[in-house]
Formats: sequence, structure tokens, C-alpha cells
Amino acid sequence: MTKRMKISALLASIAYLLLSPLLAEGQGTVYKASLGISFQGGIALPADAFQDSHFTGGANFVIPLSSRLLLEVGADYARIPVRSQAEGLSQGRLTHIPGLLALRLRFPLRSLPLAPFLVVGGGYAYNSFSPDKAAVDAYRSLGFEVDETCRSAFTASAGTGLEVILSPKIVLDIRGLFRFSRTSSQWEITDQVTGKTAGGTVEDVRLDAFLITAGFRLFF
Amino acid sequence: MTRTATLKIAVLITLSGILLCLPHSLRLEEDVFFRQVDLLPCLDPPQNKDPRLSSFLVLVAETYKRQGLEAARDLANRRGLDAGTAGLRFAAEASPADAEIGSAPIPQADRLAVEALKADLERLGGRVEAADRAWVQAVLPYARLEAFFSRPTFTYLAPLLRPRLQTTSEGVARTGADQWYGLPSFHGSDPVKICILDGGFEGYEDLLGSELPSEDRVTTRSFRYDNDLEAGESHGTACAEIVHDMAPDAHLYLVNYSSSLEQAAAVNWLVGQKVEIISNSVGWFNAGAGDGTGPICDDVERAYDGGILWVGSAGNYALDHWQGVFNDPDGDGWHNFSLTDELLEFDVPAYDFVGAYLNWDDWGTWSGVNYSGSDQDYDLYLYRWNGAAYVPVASSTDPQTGRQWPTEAVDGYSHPEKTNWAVAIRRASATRNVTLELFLSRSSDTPCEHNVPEGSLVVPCDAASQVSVGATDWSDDSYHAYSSRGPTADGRIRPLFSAPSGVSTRTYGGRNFYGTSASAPHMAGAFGILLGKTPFSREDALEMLIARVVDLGLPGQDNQFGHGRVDVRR
Repeated sequence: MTKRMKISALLASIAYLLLSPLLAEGQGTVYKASLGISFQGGIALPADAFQDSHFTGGANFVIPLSSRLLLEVGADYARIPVRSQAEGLSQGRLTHIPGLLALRLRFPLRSLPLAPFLVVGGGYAYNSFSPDKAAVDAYRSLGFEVDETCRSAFTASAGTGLEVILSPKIVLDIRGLFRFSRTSSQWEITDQVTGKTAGGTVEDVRLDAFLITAGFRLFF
Repeated sequence: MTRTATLKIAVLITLSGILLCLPHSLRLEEDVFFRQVDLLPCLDPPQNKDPRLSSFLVLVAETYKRQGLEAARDLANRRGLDAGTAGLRFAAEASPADAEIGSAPIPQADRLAVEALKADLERLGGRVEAADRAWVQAVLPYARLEAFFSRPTFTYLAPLLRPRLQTTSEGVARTGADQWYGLPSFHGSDPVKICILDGGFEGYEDLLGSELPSEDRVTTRSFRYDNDLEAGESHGTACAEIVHDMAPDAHLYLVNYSSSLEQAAAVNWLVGQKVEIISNSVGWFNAGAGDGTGPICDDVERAYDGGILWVGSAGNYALDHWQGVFNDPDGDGWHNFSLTDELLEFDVPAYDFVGAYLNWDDWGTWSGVNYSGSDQDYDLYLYRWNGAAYVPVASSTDPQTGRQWPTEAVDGYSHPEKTNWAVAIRRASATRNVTLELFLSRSSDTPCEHNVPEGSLVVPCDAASQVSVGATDWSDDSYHAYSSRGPTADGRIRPLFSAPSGVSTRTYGGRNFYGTSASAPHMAGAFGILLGKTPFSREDALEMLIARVVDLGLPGQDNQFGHGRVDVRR
């Protein structure tokens, strides 16, 4: 299957969903209220082979614009374990806290308390990197000071999921998202014995990840 | 498939799955959320209901039954239990099977039980290789395993416990390299590529994954005329062990050769492989003027220009070296090593090969291809003591008429008894008294007569870019007397460093690995640590290692210890 065929199939499926007469409002319709909050947590599977899977979680304010369209404003949190690589980050943990504005397009089912949805969003992520403390201490004992920092950067995410409407005000939310984000890092190492210093920048540190989360949405 | 591609496909499948399943879900009124999902098929483990049997042995028997002998042998071999055509090797605890045995005193019961077990095994075509109390080490044909499993003569069958032999150079702790173990690289070139450029790597395959890195982190290449990487020589294997001990995260290149021309080809290849360090515990006689020129030194410089740092042993010839100005006070044409002595004597063990290499300071100009040559003609003579007098054994009388190298050599002679040998030097045709340099090749701890340890470095220790390494004892940092000393012929202080010697290796077993051959890989490993774990250049790494040495001998750099004994700690 070529890339063009995959994209065509995806677009056709989305169009079918949007146009389907089966998607008339039914049990899947909620959001009579004007505001909600959501909490979710799950696992992130990074695209970079030198980053390990990690917990991700966050909270949002949910503002229903209609029964199908919701605006979400919130923040996520992820602390990404990183293993050292020659052309990438050193070993440590990268904290990634994106502030996100997202739109959720719901497709409530007619006869079931379910609502599949698509979600896209974007925002700005606070990133920081902490080199592995044990490694920093070990380097220090050998006469080297090491430091590495990470820049904040734009981030975007898109995905799909399923709402399970437990009651008019409580929704179980399961979703799969792909997070797109790039950052860069600056590092420096100094040999305390000779005073020699080396430093550099690692451009294009990929924070892309596939996120699988579950959570609850509460409406007031 | 890359991880990115996998994730993209996962996203696509998730999205498509939800979308494509929707129409079906919408038509269903009944609960469809708990549909039966087909689980992935599990591996079918062998049924091991008998608590007397190790599951691994049962698995071997099942494998034999289902997949045949080769598969069973392959499986057994992974645990080192395949005994070839004889069958599977395992341990069995003999069972005191009847009341008579059970009521006997324990030692006797053990013996009787072992005898019964042994007889049982032999009936099935097996044999017992060793026994200790109630346990035996047995071999049984694969085809008879299943039949044996039901026998009552054993209490328990298990794979043999096997020792994991490991030998770590004592130089690791001495230099502090162990403090870098497990430390993640901080923007270094991990895994750093280190080549052990040597004569041969006999036995290296047996050490992969233990004393050497695993197979995927070892690259081999022979540049010998016969492509024989092992070449009946384990010297390179021992050196590689030390490099691995020092820098266990490094990727090793095991490369051998047997001539200067093969070395040149090897260097070209290693530059292409982007190797960063060469550990070369090899030295050359009569291969250059000792001032950094000549074909071997050119290889070092070409490697350096190609990004490779060349770490080499200083040589083990401090006790087998003489140099001085030709002196003939009696005018007979023979050099006088002292006022009256025209022979330089030395002892050689029985059957040991002896060689002598003479060169003098008339190389001319190095063009990058060849020296312009010498017109000062000197000859070399080798003698052996026959109990009454020195008798001539060999001579080297090459003419030096203006184009030839100022070298003479005799080598490859031996005698079935330990005896004294001697060399003499004669002026054949010369217009000046040159400075002569003589190396002896032999195995002896006693210095040769008229010994001059100074300047006993082998080529290419004089190469400007080479990191030359002398030998210290790993236990107390004492200087090893055989370790070649500087200066170079043009007066530079060498070696640059000293490093541990007399260390343990698996390759040499009970014989500790002595010589600057053992020191150079320690030094190469030290460079490997810094280049692999930190982003510093080799020039910076050199300065850092100089700053970290344990200064020995004269304060500062000297011609015995160099800057000092290498240490990779603060």
C-alpha cells in the first residue's frame, strides 16, 4: 500500500464518518452543561529509540461549543527517560509540559452511549532536561562537570478516541494521540583538571510519541 | 522497520480500526463490547510432570523427539552441554533405590547408588565422566534420554553447573578505569572504535562475549598474505583482552598483518572504517632513522591524519640494546666496545632464537618513499661460545655504497643448550666513525654486555604522533627494567606514558602478561574511555591524560616513565 493510498483511505474514512446519516444524535449526546474538566493518564511510546516509554498525564478545561465540537484548554505532563546517544541527548530525563489548545470533534452514536472522536491541538511546551544525577556525580568524581539544558518548543498533537458516557455528567475517555514536537539541547562539559571545556548543540531532538491515555471528564 | 514507521502504522491502524468498525457497531443492538478475542498462540512447553527432571533436559529430549538430533544438539550447545556424538552431558543425583542401600551408612549408600546409576547409564549407552558423593557427571545419547528419564536410579537430573571464567587485568583497578564502568557517555563517540593491530589472534573466538566483546561489537580483518587472522599467535588476543577490560563499551577491530606493506594496507582500511584508536604492541628494528621518519612512522602519521590515534609499545629492549660511536683504537677494523673488548656478549636460553640488528646514523634524507641511503659500510658478525672459544655463526655484510639503508641483521639462530653468544662490528668501508645502534632479539632477563638502555625505543616510537608506552609493574608502579627508554635519535623524550604490565589474561592463563605489549593496550583503553565517554578531541584527551598521570621517576617527563603512569581518575 503506497503512502498516497493510505492517506486516501484515511480521508475517505473520515469523510464517510462526517457524512454518515447514522451519526444523528442519540445516546452519545451529552454536554448539556457549559463547562467540564478532564483528567487523563496513560503511556507514551516515543518515536526516538533512545527514549523509553513513560507515563503521561494531564488535565483540561472542556468547553462544549456544540454537541459535536468541544474546545479543550489544558496542560499535559511527561517525564521522558532518555538514554545517551552519540548524536542526541545524554542520559537523563526530559520534562515536557505542553500547554495545549485542542478541538475535539465528536461523532455520538445513535443507539449507544458511545462517541468516537477526533482531536487536534497545538500549543507551546515547556521543556527541561536533567542529566542523570548518578552520572553527573560520577563524572564529577572523575574531574568533569557536565550540564545539559533543553529549550521549550511548539508542540502539536492529533488523534482519535472513544468516549464512554457513563452518565450525563461523567464520561470515560480513551484515546490514542500522536504528539509532534521538536526541541534542541545545549550541553557543556568541563574538565576540572585541565580546565578544558567542550560544548555543543543538539538540534532537532524529537519528542514525537504515540500516546495512549484514559481518563474521566466531569461536566457541571 | 524503524520505530518511527512502526508508530506511524500503529496510529494508522488505530484510527482506521475505529473508523472502519463504526458502521458495524452502529447496527448492533446487543452488547458487543466483550467479544471473544483470539489470543496469540503460546509456545507449547514440554510437559514436565516429573519433579526429578530439570525442564531444560526435558526440553532437549522433546526437541530431539520432534526436531531431530541437530536441533537437540544446538539447544544443548547453548548451555555447553552437548557432548558431540556421545550425547548430552548432564548431572544426576543417584538414588538410594532399595532398602538395603537406604539402610547403609551414607558414604556406602552413595557409592552403591552411584554404581547402580552408572550401570543403568551404561545399559543405555551412556557413561559417567566424574562423580562426587551422590552426584555424577554423565553423558547419554540423545536418543536414550527419554528412556532414562523414567528410571528409578536417580533422584534428580540437572544441567551441569559451569564456571564462567573471567580474567580482568589488574591494570584496570590500578589506572582507575573501573570507575568509568557503566557510566553513560556524555556526547562522546560511544562506542569508540579501537583496533588491535597485531600479528595474530589465536583463540579469540572462544573469548567473544566474555573476555572480549560480543560478536556484534568485534570486527575482524586479516591483511596477511594468507588471510590467517589467528596466524598461530595469541599475542593480539591477549592485547585485545586488556583493551576490553579497560574500555568494555568499545567496539574492537582485530586486525593482523605480517609485513610493513601489509601494515600500510591495514592502515588505509582502518582510516576508512573511522577507527579512532590503534593499539599496536609491535615494534620494528632497522625500520627508520629513529627521528620520526621512515615507512613505519609514515603509517602512524597517515593514520593520525586519517583521525586515528596510534598507541604503541615502547619495546622490551632496554637490556638488549647498545649504542655508541664506532671506536677502533687498535686500528684492526673491528669496533671496540671497551678498550680491549671487541665482542658484545649475551646469554641465550636453550632453543631460543637469537637475532642482532645493527643500524647507524647515515640514513640520508627521507623522501616519503625511501631514504637517500648510506655510503658508510659496516658489517655485523654473530658468534656462539662452543665451550672453548667464540666461533662464527653468521654475518651480515650488505654493501652500503650510497643508496642502501645503513642496516645489517642476523636472525633465526638457536642452540640446544643455554650458552653465550656475541656480536662484533667491522668497518668495511667508511669515511667517518658513525654512531652505531644494536638491538638483540632473545629471551633473557640479564642485560647484554656493554648494555646501554638509553635510546632503546623501537620504531615507530619516534613517530611524532605516536603515543609510546613503557611498562610499570601493576602491583607497585615499579619500572620494569626491560622497558625500552628514550630519547629518540633526534633527542625527544619518550615514551610518553607508562602503563601497567605483568597482568592477568585468559589468553596467557597462569603466565602473567609482561612487557610493554601489555602496557600499550592499557593506554589505548584509557584513550578509549575518554573518547568514548566524553566529546573531547584526541588532542584534549592527551592533555587530560598527561594531567592525570601518577608521576613516577624524575619529576615531570622522563625517558623511563614518560609523563608518568596512566590514570583516568581525577
